[in-house]
Amino acid sequence: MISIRGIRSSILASKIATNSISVSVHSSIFTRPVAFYSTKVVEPSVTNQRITEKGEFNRKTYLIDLYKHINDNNDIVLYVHHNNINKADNATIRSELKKINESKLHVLRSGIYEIYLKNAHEEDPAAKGVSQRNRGRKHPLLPIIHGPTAIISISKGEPEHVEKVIKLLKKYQDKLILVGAKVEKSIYNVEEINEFKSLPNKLTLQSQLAGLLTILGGAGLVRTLEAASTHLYLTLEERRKDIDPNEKKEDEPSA
Amino acid sequence: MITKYFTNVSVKFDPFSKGGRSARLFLARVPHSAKLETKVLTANSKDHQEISVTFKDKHIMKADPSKMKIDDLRDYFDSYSRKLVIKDAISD
Repeated sequence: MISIRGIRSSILASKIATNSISVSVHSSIFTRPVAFYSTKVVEPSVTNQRITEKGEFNRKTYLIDLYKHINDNNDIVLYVHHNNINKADNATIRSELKKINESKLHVLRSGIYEIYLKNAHEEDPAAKGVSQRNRGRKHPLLPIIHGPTAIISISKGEPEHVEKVIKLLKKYQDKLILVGAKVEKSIYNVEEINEFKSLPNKLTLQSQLAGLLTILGGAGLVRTLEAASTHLYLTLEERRKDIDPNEKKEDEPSA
Repeated sequence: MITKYFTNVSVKFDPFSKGGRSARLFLARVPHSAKLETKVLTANSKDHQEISVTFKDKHIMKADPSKMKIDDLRDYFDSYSRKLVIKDAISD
């Protein structure tokens, strides 16, 4: 039985083979050159494919990516509690914020933002297994995202922009309540934000520092900064002289 | 939570502390018909966290959000609101 089936299958195979050859000959004459494709299944390369906890194009993954983008690309993020904002106010606040160096208001999905904060130190916060790993992790910003929270992103760390935004928030008092902020890598409470906004801007601070250093013994500072490198040079030079016998001979008569 | 008898609500809270959570959840439930007053505290401010509600009949109730969860706050303020509901029902 087995042998018969074997014979039959071999006949069949030969038939198919002849068929395919004839077809290929025809096609080669009339259309295009023959191409023999391998029947092996080629798997898509897994190495550069992103493996996420939720689907790659899921909204949760998107939001985590968005929050990461906002936090990484903005110097200042202000956290506000939003309360009873109507449609007209919402539109005006957003347009006013846009005038202040393209600042933007995002209403948070706090559950997802919480996950992002816990995973913020990871390379990809939305990756598979990451949230499980960081389940009990603490983050200093976690307490201020309970309740209806929104963030205002300010791209440049200039105190004057913060001052403008706070002025705007004052206009909508009890609708948008400032609760905290992230300035570069530190976390500020309301008192510290108020101190920060009254600072002069970064450029004037830098120029002030430079001016101060030149007045207060700039030469001394330069010497101090140079000391380490000159010391290293001198030691190495001594060492070179010790190793190199010719150098020593040349040095001795002169000394 | 029965909020229709609230006329004035003043909330003082520290968002970074334990009470911040229940205070903010309470704030979110306050209707915009009530006059709202908020103050954000910090860890070293001398003021204490407090929620104070004035009802329609000028009765004032105060609560400490750091000692109560949102459900406790709801029960606490509802205890008086319910009395007003009954009063309304009788007068109608």
